[in-house]
Amino acid sequence: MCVFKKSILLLFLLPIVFYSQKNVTISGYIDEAKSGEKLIGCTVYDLKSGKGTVTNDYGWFSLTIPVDSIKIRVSYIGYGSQIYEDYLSFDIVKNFSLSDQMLKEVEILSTKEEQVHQKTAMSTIDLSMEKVKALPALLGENDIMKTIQLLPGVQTGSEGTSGLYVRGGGPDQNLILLDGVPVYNASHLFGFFSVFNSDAINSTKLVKGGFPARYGGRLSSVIDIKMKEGNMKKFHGQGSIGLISSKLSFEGPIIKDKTSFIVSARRTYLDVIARPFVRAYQRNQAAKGIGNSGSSNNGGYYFYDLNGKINHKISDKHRLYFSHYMGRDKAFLDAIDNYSYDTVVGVDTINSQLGWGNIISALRWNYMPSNKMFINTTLRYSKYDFLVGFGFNQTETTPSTTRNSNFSYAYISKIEDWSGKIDVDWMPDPDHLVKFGIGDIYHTFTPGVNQFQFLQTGQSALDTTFGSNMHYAHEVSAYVEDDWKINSKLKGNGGLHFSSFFVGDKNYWSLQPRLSLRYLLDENSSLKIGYAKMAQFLHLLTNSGIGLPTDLWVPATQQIKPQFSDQIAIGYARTISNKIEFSLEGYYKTMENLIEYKDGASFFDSETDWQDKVHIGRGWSYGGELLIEKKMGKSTGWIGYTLSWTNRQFDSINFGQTYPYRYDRRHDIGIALTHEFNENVNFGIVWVYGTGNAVTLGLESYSSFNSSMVENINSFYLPYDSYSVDHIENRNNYRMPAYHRLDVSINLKKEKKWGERTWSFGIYNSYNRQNPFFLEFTRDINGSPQLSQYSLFPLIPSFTYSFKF
Amino acid sequence: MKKFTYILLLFGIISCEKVIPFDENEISPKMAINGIFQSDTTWRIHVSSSKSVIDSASFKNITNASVFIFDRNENLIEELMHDTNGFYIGNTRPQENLNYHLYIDHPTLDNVLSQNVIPSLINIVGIDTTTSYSNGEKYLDLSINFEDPGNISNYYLVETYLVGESLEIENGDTLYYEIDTNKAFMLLNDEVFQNGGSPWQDQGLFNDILFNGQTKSLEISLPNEDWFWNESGYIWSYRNIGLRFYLHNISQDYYYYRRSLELYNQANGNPFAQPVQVYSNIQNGFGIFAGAQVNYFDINL
Repeated sequence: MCVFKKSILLLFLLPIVFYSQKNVTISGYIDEAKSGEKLIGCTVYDLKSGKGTVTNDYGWFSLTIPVDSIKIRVSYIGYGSQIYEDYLSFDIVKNFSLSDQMLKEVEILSTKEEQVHQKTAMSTIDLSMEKVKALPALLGENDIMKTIQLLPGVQTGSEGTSGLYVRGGGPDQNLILLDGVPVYNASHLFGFFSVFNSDAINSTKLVKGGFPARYGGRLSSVIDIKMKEGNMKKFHGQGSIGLISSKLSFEGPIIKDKTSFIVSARRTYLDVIARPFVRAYQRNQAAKGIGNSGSSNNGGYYFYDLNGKINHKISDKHRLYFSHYMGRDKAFLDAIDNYSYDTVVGVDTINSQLGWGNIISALRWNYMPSNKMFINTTLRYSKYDFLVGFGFNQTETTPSTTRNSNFSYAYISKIEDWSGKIDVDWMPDPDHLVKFGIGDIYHTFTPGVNQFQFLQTGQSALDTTFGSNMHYAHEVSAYVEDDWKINSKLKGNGGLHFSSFFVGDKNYWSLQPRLSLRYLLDENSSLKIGYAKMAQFLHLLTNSGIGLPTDLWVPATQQIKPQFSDQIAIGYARTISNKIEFSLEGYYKTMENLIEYKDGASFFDSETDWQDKVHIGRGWSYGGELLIEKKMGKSTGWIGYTLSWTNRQFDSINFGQTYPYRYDRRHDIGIALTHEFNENVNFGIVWVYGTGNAVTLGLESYSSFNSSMVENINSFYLPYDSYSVDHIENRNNYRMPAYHRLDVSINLKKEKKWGERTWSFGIYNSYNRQNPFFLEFTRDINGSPQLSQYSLFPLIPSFTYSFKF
Repeated sequence: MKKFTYILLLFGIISCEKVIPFDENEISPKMAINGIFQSDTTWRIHVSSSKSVIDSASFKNITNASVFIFDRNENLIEELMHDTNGFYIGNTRPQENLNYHLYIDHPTLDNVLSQNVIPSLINIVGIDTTTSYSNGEKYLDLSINFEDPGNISNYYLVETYLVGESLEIENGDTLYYEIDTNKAFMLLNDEVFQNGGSPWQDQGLFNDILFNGQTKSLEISLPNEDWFWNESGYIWSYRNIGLRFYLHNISQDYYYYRRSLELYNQANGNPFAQPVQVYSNIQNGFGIFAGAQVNYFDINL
């Protein structure tokens, strides 16, 4: 702890030591002129002093420069730049609004943002929502998580799923933040779609390595998603009607330039469309005498989600935000059977359901106590629950009696967090941006509870609950980091993240150093290096490893230690002709205390505590990533390539031998391009390629029997007196065929009197590649064994009609 | 993974299935050994050949191999000769706590090697029995006391065989009478058991990590059938009249083999389970060459 305290003091004092001359500070917010939406990562640069900064996650900036005349350039990609000139002798607050409109006070310059070679951050990618919406998508559902999968270093799980495997990590090792609140299950429809409605999202950032100290709690990545804040100027709406779902968003001022709101909702409607067909089929069957005319069945699947946010500007120094998300998936089957015999009239009712969902809320207060300091205080709530339920009710009535029996079963798992967090941005001078903060999360884990209820007329009621024990834990964290421009060529981000986990009588703590350095080789290129130690106090128990809703979140306990990782990355970045960004990175990552279910174990086995159902082991991953990206012009997009190796080693799995991770993928390519033919027509294309997943298959078989138990060897007949064992040389010993796919889309926009409409047409898997989903040995019609491959999605056309007003 | 597929099947979105190439020529047959040896019987090793999983032919006994048993100093103890149906038979009996090496030579297949030992005989001090009832069922609770040798890791396998008497009488005439012996399913609730899954098993596997060098009192329960039905002069009854409890002290390799084989059988065909690797101590081949020492205790009920 002594070292930790000294390090924090040093980090705080350094900016003061290096800062002594007379300076002034200009600070303020930068937003989009039309909507008032804050612009994150916007560059503020003084052309005279050569000092600059970028806006934080709330669109706020602070730039301290020597007393002199200033010429500030404010720029952001896709927007016209502004120049602000003045002579400053005292601190001022100045807000900027960017648009493509020529303003009287400002001068439009070429669009510019901080380029890849200038950034200190390694392994960090900002995604534009315009790009997400322009690219083709499965069934026309634009999905931020699917777009992230196209980036280097991010592996897809199985076909169609939205799980992320970043640099060899598991799906639990991604810190997915929605407005700063962790999301525990980001999947709808068993992972085919993510919970994030693209109409409600303002910005997305992916961090794969070189983690700044402000992030903690997961090993492999941070996906920081910010919701829109709502238009402060005018009321707007947008929506879309697609093949499987529709969505609708409204935003606007409640009090102009002071309070705004946004609300966005989405629902699938396969169940609604299918219902009349199912009923017609049942009537038809009953008419033919098939089935019971007194019976009816109703079943289906749907998901919905709802995002809402209110943003209130109390004063220039105080802002308040409240954001909320709720979403749920439900698959259900209800059956009613009416019957009668003799004098008895009866009704049997059966209900079964599978459901899961998240609820996320955040109350945030931004406070600017001085023009060099920004404080963000957040209260957060996050809940994820999963439920399997079955109920049976029978009522039989005779002229004199009524007999009722009711049975229900439910399996429930849940994780619930209440948390608070204070984050401070302090900009003592343009060469330092210091961030520090503290936070506490109170976790409640319910890893798996079974509930049985039985009620019968005249009988005593049975009501019992059993399963794994609940766990309660506090996760406390503190961090400090400094983004320090050491000289004109060398810039660094160093910091410490401290976290501590209190569960039962056990306390784990971890001090995690973080460092990223960037050295400019020339005006257009730089070398970068980064190191990060990460700790994760949560585990995800998964049978499949693909992120199903049945996966259980569980804490580190006395028996199961937290996960730790160390990652080092080195990279080269270059900007070519101010248009194309090129980055090449190599990384090596180790992970300790990973968990896996024991062979044959399952979450349904509630007689055994989950802690006795897992093995503990380690993993490591290394490789190289190439990203070539063009952000401006009519044709934009990127080409990503990853070469990687990922392994696991558990003493109790694979007889202690190292084996490849299921998603160990030697080659992974993602190409995403869009082209604007004109203002109304744009075209998108996505091509992906990946080495086949590693799966476990027995390739040879042999006979097995207890030779000491054979009583008469003369009558022994091998085919009947022994059984066949399929030999598995190693876990994940067989490679599926490679995965590749081409998607295309075209968006046709048209201005209307009431706003704008867009028809989007897309084709998923354009050349109808039968990609492997899983392999299995089957038998042909002659009974001969064969290896069969099952695929999910053939060529799928889609269309979406969307509108804005 | 398969679980996920079954869920998807419910929604009818599996698009297609196709047969993909699997080059079985890359898989060359190897020798599979089934050789459990005990000190109360002469050497007996079975040798067969493995095959590709998509080869629909039956397993074949290997009859033209040369099977040698050596001691730990590589002195030949005996060459086992093929008798019948892939069994190679010797004339000597293995002895406990001696390490034996197996070497099998074949004209076309890779030669295989292995080695193992028969552990010491375990002394069963005694067995206490009590009767209990649960949900109207009669249970026999056994408390088996045995002495675990100290300073050495021991691995155990327990099995129980019940001897039952079945009787049918009609109007005083015996229609049917039979004594049968069946391997019993036991309720393995003792903390030492390592089987995993259901506590109901027909064999129990455990090691001495919790009681090394101590006298262990092992607790197991098993259903004790004892019923009688009489209707209009027709009597039908069944009751257990005896029990034989086996305590095998097995080598570490045999323990790993049996445990993994048990998990394999539990997972085989189960779409929700991770495929299980079966342990083998045969170099260049498959199967098991392992020693076991067996002791038993009979109880009249």
